[in-house]
Amino acid sequence: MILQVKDIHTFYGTSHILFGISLDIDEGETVCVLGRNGAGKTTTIRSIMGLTRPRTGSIKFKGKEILGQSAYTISRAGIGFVPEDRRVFPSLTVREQLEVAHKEGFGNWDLDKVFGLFPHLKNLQRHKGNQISGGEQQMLTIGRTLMGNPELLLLDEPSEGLAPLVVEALAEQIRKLMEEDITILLSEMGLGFAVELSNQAFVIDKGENKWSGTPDKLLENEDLKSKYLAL
Amino acid sequence: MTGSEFLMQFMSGLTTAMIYFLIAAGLTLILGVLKIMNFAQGGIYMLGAYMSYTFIKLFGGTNYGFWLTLAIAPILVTAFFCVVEVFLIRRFYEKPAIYILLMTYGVLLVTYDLARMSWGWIIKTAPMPPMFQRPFEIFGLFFPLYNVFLIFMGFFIFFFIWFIINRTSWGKIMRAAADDREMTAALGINVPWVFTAVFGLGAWIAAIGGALVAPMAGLSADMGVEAGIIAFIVVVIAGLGSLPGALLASFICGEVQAFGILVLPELAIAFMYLVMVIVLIVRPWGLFGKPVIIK
Repeated sequence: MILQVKDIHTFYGTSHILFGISLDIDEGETVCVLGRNGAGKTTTIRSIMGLTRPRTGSIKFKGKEILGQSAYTISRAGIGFVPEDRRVFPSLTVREQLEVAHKEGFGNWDLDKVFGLFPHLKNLQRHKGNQISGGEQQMLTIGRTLMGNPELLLLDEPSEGLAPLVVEALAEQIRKLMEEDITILLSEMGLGFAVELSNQAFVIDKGENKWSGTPDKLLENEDLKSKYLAL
Repeated sequence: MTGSEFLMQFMSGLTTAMIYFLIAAGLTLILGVLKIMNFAQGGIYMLGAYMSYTFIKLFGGTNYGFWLTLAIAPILVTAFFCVVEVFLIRRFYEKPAIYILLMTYGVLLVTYDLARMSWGWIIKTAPMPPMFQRPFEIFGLFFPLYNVFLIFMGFFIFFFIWFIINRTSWGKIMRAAADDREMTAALGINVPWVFTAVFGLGAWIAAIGGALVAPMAGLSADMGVEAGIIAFIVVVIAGLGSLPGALLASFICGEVQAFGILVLPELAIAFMYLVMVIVLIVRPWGLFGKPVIIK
């Protein structure tokens, strides 16, 4: 098991957001965390990344406890984070933000390989982060995280706000990543592309685990879908 | 005014401008990346000047001693303020801005007393290095060679910082951390150490500014407070955090003062404030700043 999240409770200030979320992810798997807006998907991912530290519980990455460590230590341990709001650096060029994120790790990602996956970025190298479109920013933010050669990739609602054609291209790119043996965790509000790509799904609501199983089982379960997912 | 008078006044304004720039550049850098107002900046400049005074004296006022002082004294002062950053300032970055203001103001007061205790009340002047004890001829006019050197150093340091920020991998990390420190951390970069390094670089610029001023000005503990005010004015005129803005603002302040003195000598001290007031009325976000929309 590459990641084992056990009974984490996370707060923003005094408001209690996660009430004992647990996730088990095996090496090389692609899993998705599904739930409506406000279900706790982003907080779960931020908790794993150490950006919002859970008060109690345990998060083990490759058998080692990472709860309580700082985000940069967790990143160096091999977890990559692609935020929902992309967070490209406005004052760095596309190329610079890829370079700044480069570190040795699990894969062999470098500029050439990222440009191989996202050929369009190659033409935008000299553009600043705030001069490119939303879809381009999404490619950049994924490429940037890949430059850090993570073993586990956390993608928070990557399809959010993208045109259908762009989402399709993104799904294709994520399929290519899956061939690289990277473990991927995707989050999504409904039954979009994340479910199609995953071999395991977790449904959460109001900061609690509601269900987990294979995507096929989820698609059959009308009750579950209508109760917890945005359709 | 004749052409030669004009040139002399211009050069004297440029010298003042470079001193202002060296005082303000570190503050600008720290403000731009760390987003904090470092009130201790003037104190760093002052300690840089005093420390250089001591070293220049120690080396017997020789040319060689002067160059050695420029290399050593600012680094020592920088090291001291890096320790201050790690133990005193760092913990307040995520707190409301008033914590940093009070903390750095406290550090300024400590440097003030430290200077009084170590160097006393009497105004000190470091000896001018022998190689600079001659005038520099420009279009048949004679101008102190040291001032020319100071102007050169001001531009040199401007390009040096510009190069670090825009052309090195270290600069890329600095800009990323300035844009979004949380995302930078999530990419595996140790942001607190980046901040210490930027704080250190900002301190070094102020300290070398002090070191360069040591042979040409009377040193007193008050110069730190004075420098702090100048730095603040320059940064406000420039637009918060803009380095080219700081250079231009320093130039404007230096020249307005140099020429203003000819017209209205009794207003000499007020010219910088006048420039600031005009800029704040016409362009409240500063020459190179961006308008901030408060939501």
